[in-house]
Amino acid sequence: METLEDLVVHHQEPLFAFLYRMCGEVNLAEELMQETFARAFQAAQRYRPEASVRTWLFSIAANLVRDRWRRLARRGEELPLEDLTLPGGSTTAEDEALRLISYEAVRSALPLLPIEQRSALILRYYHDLSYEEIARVLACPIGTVRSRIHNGLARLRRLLLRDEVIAP
Amino acid sequence: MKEIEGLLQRDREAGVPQPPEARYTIAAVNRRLGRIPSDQPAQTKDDRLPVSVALCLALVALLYFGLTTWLLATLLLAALCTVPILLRKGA
Repeated sequence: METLEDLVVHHQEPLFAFLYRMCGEVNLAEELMQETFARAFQAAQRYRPEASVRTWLFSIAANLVRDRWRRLARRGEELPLEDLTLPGGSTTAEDEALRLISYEAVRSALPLLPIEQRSALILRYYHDLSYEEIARVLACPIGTVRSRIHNGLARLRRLLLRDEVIAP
Repeated sequence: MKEIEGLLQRDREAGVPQPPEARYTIAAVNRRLGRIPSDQPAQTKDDRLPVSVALCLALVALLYFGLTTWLLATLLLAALCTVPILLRKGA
């Protein structure tokens, strides 16, 4: 197991990027990153070498984000979007509309996804983790990872096609 | 879904803000862990007390009694007091 200094030097960049995309706020991402390193350091004896250090750190970070999100949801500060109804369908016109959307709109829409779908999408498309690694990070079966990614992409598409998310 | 995957790719290529410097993060994590880095020892009130008392006794012995044996004994006591402090700090 690496020292705290090595952990930070080698892993803070991807960890910060993951947390920033999960939360959409620099200060919060920074705070959660520090907490992730602190927890990793405290739980160093529980680290299993079969998982990479990066995967292990991502799983601690994902748990922290999930705990925070649940706490906020319980207090009613941030409502879960599981029941949000969005327009469905897949037409050529929609495909054309998507081509005109900027990446900033994607960045704004990502934090609106349900947390499990968001984590799976970010780990897959921004950090190149395999389905198996994502399953390890999110502590769920590989089949669940596949369905979260599929549903996440579909929901993101519908979110982007809503007027308020599409950049002017 | 290819369009969405393309958008995610573009967002990825656009990058994200940089994290703070590593030393800043390390210091912040150390604070969370309640650890004091060995290169920045900070004396607590508890650490300073025995050293100060021993030095005062040494000065009193020198000024009022002029006895070198007292002086040596108190300096030895002061030195002994600092040993566990230095060991704890890893200095």
